[in-house]
Amino acid sequence: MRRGETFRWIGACLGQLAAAAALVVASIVDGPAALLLRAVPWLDTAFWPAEGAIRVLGLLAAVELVVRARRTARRHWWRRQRFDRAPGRPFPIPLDQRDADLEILRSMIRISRTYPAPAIRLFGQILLDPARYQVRITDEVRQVDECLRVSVSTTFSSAPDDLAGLREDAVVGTPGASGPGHASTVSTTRPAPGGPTAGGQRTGTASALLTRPAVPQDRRTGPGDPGDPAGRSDNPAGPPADPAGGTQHPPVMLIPMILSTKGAMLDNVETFDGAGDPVPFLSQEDARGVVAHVLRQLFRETFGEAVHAVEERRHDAVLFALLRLVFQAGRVSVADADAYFDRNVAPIRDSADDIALRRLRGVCSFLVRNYVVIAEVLPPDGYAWILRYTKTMPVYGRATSPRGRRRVRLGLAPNTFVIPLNLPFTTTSYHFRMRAGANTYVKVHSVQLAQSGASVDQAAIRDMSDRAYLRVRHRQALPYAHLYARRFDTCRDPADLVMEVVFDEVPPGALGLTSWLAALSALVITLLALLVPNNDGSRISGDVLAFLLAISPVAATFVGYSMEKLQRSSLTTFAGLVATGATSLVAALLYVQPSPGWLLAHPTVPLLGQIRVNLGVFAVGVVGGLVAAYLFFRLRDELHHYVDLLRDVEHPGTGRPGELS
Amino acid sequence: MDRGADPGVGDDLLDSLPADAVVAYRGEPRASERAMLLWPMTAERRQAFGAGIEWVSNQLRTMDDERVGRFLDELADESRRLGLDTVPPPEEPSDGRGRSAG
Repeated sequence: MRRGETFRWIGACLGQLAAAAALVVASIVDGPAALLLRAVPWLDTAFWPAEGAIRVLGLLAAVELVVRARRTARRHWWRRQRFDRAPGRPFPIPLDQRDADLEILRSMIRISRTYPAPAIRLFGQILLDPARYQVRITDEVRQVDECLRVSVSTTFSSAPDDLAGLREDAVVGTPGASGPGHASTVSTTRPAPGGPTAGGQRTGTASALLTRPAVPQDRRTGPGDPGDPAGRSDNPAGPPADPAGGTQHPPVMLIPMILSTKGAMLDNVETFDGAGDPVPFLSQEDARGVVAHVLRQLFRETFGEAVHAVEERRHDAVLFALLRLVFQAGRVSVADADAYFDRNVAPIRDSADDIALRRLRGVCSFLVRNYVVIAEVLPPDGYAWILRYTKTMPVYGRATSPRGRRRVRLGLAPNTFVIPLNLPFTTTSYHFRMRAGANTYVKVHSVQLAQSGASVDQAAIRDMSDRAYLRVRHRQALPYAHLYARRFDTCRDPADLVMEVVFDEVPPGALGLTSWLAALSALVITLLALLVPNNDGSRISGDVLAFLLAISPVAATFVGYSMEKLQRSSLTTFAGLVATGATSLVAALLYVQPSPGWLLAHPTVPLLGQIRVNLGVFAVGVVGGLVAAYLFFRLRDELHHYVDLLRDVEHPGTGRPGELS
Repeated sequence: MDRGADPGVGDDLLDSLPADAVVAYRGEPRASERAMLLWPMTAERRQAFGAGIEWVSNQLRTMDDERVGRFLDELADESRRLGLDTVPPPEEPSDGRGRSAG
C-alpha cells in the first residue's frame, strides 16, 4: 500500500460518515428542514407533504452514505491485511521419464552404499508387518492454545534374527565383510527360498541390476549370494569395490516412524528416542531409495523372477513405471492410481500371483497418497527400543455450526474433540490419553465410525475380531481420558474409527459462582423495588446505585478471575453472566429515572402494612430470579451427575449398567 | 481424518457429531488406508524378503555411471515399446480442511 493511501481511505470514510451525520441531523431536527422549505417555497406546493418527504429522503441518503463508508472501511482493511501476498498453490512438478528414473535409481544406489542391507531389510519388514514389531503405542494429546499437541510413543520389539545382521555388520566392520559383499554374513546363515534363483541361461544386460545378472556357470560356487537357496554365489570373490569408497557401514537401523499424508504439512514435528535424545530422519530422496528397495522386492515376489533378458527388461520397465507413480510429487487419486497400475502391469500380468498382485496394488495405492518418515537410530543393546514423536494437530469444525460459531464469538474454547483412531490396528497394544485444562473432567468418551458417526460398542468390536479388546475409562469423574485397545491388529477389515471426548468443568465451577451471583443480584433488585421504591428526584441513594452498578463487574471478577477458566465454561454460564449484568444495569437505570405514578403500587402486606413497590424494578428482579432459578437447575443436574460418578467409583458395581465400558 | 483426501467423510462426521465438536487433523492415513500397506509374512517369506533386499542392495552398491546410463537407455526403450502410461497428474494439495494449501 502506498504511503498516504491510508489517510486517503480514512479521510473518505470519515467524510462519508460526517455527511451521513449531517443529513441525519438535518432530517430530524426541525430547523434545517424548515429552512430548506423557506428557501425553496415551491417545494411545499409541488410535493406533498414536502417536509416529510425531504426528511425521509435525507435519512435514506444518510443510510446510503453509512453503507458506503462501511464498504470503504472494509476494502481498506482487506487491502491492509495483504492476504494476496501468500505464495499461492504450489505448481505441479513435471519430470521427464528419464529424469524421474534417474532420481529413483540414484537414490537406491545412494542408500545401498550408505546403509547396511540388513537395515533396509528390517525397515521393509516393519513397514509391511508393523504389528509384529510395534508392541505398544501410546498416543497422548493435550490442548495447546487453539490446537492439539500429540505425542506418539512406540515401543518396538524384534526377534534376535532381525538384529543379527545389523550387529554382525557393526562388529565385523572390515572392508571385505562390510562392503558390497557383506550380505554373505546373512546369506550363509539364512537360506532364501524365495530369493533370486540361479538365473539359468540369461544373458547379461544393463537391466540385470534389478534381476539376477548372468554369470558363467563355473563361477557360481561361493556362498556369497543371499538370494540363492543353494548358497551359490554369482561372484565368489565378492562384488567390485564400492565406487563410493565406503566399506564400513555404521551400525544403524532404519525405522518407519511416521506415515503421513502427501500434501499435509507436518507442524512442529520433533522425534526422540527412548532416552529423550533427538533422532534424525532421512531426507525425502533417501527415504525414496529405501522404499524403492522394498517395492522392488514386493514386485519380484509378485511377478517372480525373469528368465530371459527380454523378460528382465520388461519387468524393469514395469517396475520403474510403478516407482514413478509412487514417487510422484503430490497425491494422485486412488482411482487414477489403480487404473494406472492395471494398465502398466498388463504386459506381465500373466506371470503374477493374484493375491500378491492385489497386495502390491494396495501398497502402491497407499504410497501414492502417503509417504514414510524414516528415522535413523542405533540398534538397542537388547531387543526392544522406544521411539517418540510429537507434532501439532490443527483442529477444524469450530465454526461449522451456529452453536460453534457462538462459542468462537464469545471467546470460549472448544470442549468437545473428535480424534481419529488410526494407530490401534498396527500394534498389539494401544493407549490413548488426553488431558484437558485445570478443573475439568471427562464427561463423555465414545468411539464412533468415522463415516456414519454410529457408536461402536463391544458387540461391534467382537464383530471385527474375536481377539480385539477395547476399554474406555470414562464416567469416573477423572480429569483425563484413557482408551486402551489390544489386538486390533487381528481385525480382518480395519474400520475408520474416531473418538469423541467431551470435557466439562468440575461443578460447581464457574456455573456455580454465576448461579449464586445471579441469585444475589435478583434478591438485591427485588429488595430495592420493595424497600427503596422511588426516586423523587432530590435524594437518589448513591449507595444503592453504586451497589447495583457494581454487581456486573463483581460477577465478572468472581467468575472470570481465571481467563482460562472462563474460556472453558459453558454457553449457559456465559449467558447467565450476561443476564445478571443486564438486569443489574436495567434496575439501576430504572432507579435513576423518577418513576411515574402508574409504576408505583401500594399493596398491603401482613406484618408490614402498606408498602410502596416500584413495579418496573420489581419486574426486573423477577426476571433476575428466573435466570437464577434456571442456573440453579442446571447446576443441580451437573452436581448430581458428578457426585453420582464419584459415588459409583467409590462403590463399583452400584453404578448403572453400561457406565463402565 | 482427511477431509481433503476423501470428500464427504469429514462433512458426514461433523454432521453426526455434537454441534460444538472440533475435529483434530492428524494428517495421517486412516486405518483402512494403512491396511492396504500390510503384507504379513511367514518366517520363510521374511527370510526371502530380507535376502532379496540384501541381494539387490549389493548389486546397486557396485553400479557405476556407465551402467546407470545403459540401464536408463534400455528402460526408456522398453517403456516406449510397451506403451507404458505417463503418471497421472496429482490432486490439488490440501491442508485437510477441504481448503487448498498455500
